[in-house]
Amino acid sequence: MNEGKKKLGAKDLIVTGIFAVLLLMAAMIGGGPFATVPTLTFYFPIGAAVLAGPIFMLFIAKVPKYGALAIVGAVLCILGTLTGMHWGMNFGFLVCSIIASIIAGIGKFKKPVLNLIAYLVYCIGPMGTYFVFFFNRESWISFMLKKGTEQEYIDKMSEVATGGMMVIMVVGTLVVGLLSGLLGLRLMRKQFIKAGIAS
Amino acid sequence: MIKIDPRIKVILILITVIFSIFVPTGLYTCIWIAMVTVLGTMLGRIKKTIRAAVIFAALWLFAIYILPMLHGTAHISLLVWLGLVFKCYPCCMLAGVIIGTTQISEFMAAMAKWNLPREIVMPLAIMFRYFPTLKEDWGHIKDAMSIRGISLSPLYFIKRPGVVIDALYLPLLVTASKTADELSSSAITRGIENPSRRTSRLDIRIKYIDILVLTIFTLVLLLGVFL
Repeated sequence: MNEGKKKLGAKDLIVTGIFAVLLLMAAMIGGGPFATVPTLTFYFPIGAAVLAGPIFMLFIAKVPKYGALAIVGAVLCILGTLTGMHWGMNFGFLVCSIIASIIAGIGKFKKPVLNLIAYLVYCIGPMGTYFVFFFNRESWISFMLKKGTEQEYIDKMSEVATGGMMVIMVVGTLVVGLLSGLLGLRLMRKQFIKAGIAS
Repeated sequence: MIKIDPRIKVILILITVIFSIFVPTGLYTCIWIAMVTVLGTMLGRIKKTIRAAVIFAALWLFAIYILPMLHGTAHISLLVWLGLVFKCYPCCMLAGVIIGTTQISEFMAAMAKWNLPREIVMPLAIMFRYFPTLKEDWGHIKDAMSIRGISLSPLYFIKRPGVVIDALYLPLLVTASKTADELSSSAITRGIENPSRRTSRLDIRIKYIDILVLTIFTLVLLLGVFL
């Protein structure tokens, strides 16, 4: 594609918008069931990483420029803010997208291994909210206590939430993201390049 | 029926975000939901707004009356979940109202008045425009899959994962990139790459009603934060 140009044209922006929708939907469909079941809320990042791999790979191939992924991050950040997601998640998206963009950019958006690493970094984004959640619980715990919850319940919950859950969340997301990213690379190699959609 | 400037709508959402961060869940959450309900009804999105308000009321009553009766793990996990839901609900509801009542051209024109960078506004506008198209495409893909006898059930997926993956991702991504090409050629034809300032036929001004709504929301926010 037009590699010499650094600035994003109207076409790149439109492709970015459409792929942002697809990435968002992939995260919703994959992670949605987890987010609504109370005990599984913490596994949301794992679910969100399941479907997005091929979409991410095709997007990188279609708009191989530095700004594109950062814009996806910014747009998702804005949308998240508008719908009242926790700011940890929004800024996680933004920061991780920018880092992913830089990593993929090192290989000029062509090296599969670097693209894969970029996808893993991108998958870590939604976890931002849980990291913040673990440090900033006081505000809503105080509310819950006011409504008559015993302290020991909260303590018990904190124990479950901080220790094993975090490790499972991070490792699980990385493993699932790796599989999804590999699937994406395989689809790229086998189908999209042959079909002439991506170069 | 009233109309509000899209810029004011964006500010309202920001106020609501500040509200969810600083004001603990309680009486003010209910007041806020009531305000959003009134606003949504007056903006002409009656059915969906009232449905959202009823769902909120049901969850709220559940949290107050039924939740204390439960014990053990169910109690804790529901408590966590409801805490998150009540934090997000005002923002999500307002965002739903606003996305449902704002036209894209209106939105673009208002954002151009703010001199926001094109790199952000354009993907956002495309996203709002593309959601319904995606839904339509998805229906077509599902029809095509059922004609070939491929189902999306987990059982079928375990039996033949390769077929399901190919039949799901390929058409979806191919149509998406086709749509992107078509949309961009149509937008370029209509002069979206024009570097000069965007003009609009729509009358976008801040009127008394905008100031009124903004004042009410700000006042309640201040009350919630300081009382």
